[in-house]
Amino acid sequence: MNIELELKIQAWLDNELSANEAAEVAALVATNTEAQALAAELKSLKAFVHANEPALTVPESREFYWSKIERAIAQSERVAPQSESAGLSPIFAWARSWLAPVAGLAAMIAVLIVIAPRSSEPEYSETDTPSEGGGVIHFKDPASGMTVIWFYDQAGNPIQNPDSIDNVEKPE
Amino acid sequence: MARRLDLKTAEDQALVRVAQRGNMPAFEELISRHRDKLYARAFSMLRNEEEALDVSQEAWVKGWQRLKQFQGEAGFATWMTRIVINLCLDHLRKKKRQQTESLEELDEEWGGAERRMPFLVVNPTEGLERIELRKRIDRALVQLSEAHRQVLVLYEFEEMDYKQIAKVTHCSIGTVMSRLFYARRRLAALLMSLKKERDSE
Amino acid sequence: MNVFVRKFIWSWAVAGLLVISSSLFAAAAEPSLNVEVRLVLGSEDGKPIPADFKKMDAALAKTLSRSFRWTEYYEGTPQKVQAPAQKSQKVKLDEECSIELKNLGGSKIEVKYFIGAKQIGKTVNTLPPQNWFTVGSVDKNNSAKFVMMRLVLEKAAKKETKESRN
Repeated sequence: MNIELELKIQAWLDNELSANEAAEVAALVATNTEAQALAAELKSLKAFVHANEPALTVPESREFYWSKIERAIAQSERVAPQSESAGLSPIFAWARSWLAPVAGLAAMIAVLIVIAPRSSEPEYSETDTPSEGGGVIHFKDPASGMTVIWFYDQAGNPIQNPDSIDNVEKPE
Repeated sequence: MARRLDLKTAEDQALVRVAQRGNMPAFEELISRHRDKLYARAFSMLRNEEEALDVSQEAWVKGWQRLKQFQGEAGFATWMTRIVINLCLDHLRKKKRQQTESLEELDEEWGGAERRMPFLVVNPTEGLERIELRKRIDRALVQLSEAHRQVLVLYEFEEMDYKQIAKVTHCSIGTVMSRLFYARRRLAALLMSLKKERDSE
Repeated sequence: MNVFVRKFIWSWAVAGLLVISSSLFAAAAEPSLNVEVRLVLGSEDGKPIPADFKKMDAALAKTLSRSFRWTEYYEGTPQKVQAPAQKSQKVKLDEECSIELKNLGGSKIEVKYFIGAKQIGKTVNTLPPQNWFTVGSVDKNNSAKFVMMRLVLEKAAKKETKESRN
């Protein structure tokens, strides 16, 4: 059997042939023992592989995995408005550059006024990333209530892989 | 008054609708439901834990950014796995650019030694438990070349047809067919040798 | 100026003074924080561990091992640290690892984390009552070091002091 014929038998099993071609191949497989053997091998292999994709679970806790995604989303959303304002005229850009901090300040004052009379302490968190190209990962495990701040520096951060720091968030 | 959505019991579609309005907890719930599947698909393509983790997380970020474009023609998980597959292919392309194609790879393109191998008459998966089957598949997938594994994963797991695979892998339908054929024949041979190993133990 | 306007201004002035003086008083009377601090080592199977370290509580070890690659977690002797308001206090955990705590008031605390003389990072957090707050990094031997902290509530602290006296 030549390669073209072998590929045709495979395409027949994968339902990739036209009706005429499929009928031709079916006739061949019915009469040719070699074609039959190949078709049987491919058929059983297809069924076997299709139903058995290796099942894997993410080797990180839900919170830790999510904390990295959340940070990346927050980072990308911080970058987006900056690039949007790049095309504005200088006056608009100037107005926008002032509008945001003023609005932010106003919002902050409003929030302070709202929360000031409460007796309970608000959740508060602020972390400095280390210098020289390091970073920090911050997450909370809801089951135990434990908060973890994980610092890494440029020299080494083997959270999952001792040879690479590519798998953790880079500092901004 | 609008009823509050119970994230744990809500269907994917409902969570997507809420997440499309910027609700992050709904999106997190979607991640927790489908993260293993996405990671497993990335791992099948890349065969590297770190890379699969990075790419799957990048896919979730992309998913969030493009969530408004999701119209619900396919299921959310299917939509997300397409994003992860595209990222895996980009990742492999970038890696490939750094490597030169070897003669061995060219030989693999056309079938190599396995093409001339006799067809199997014994089912190499006979009498195996599901866990054992999956382990064997996993071990055999490692030994396939990147190009052949890619096509096999896209066809068997991602359920793409020849035309779709040719489009995403930037090659001809003929190449997809020969790669798929070689991958299957090699996989059959690998499974057979694993069966022999097990039988002799 | 009529009487009504005068009364109005006076009442606001008195209220303002009361608010300012009570907030000043509250700031001055800011209590010290009692913080329990312990060092936890994350280690690979079979790596030697200092003799004064014992296996960590299984539930907490599980929490850490779910997110970090180390398989074994050991804790050192806990230290009770009293952090007076607005003052920094250095706590040495072992030969190379230390932290500097500063009570910023209202259970908010600044933690500077050091390996040797080098400051690895700084964080300001509200210490959640009863829950652990942890900072950590990798040391030069590729082991993990976690500094775990939690607020010791006044009642619990008093009870413990009483028990230790008895």
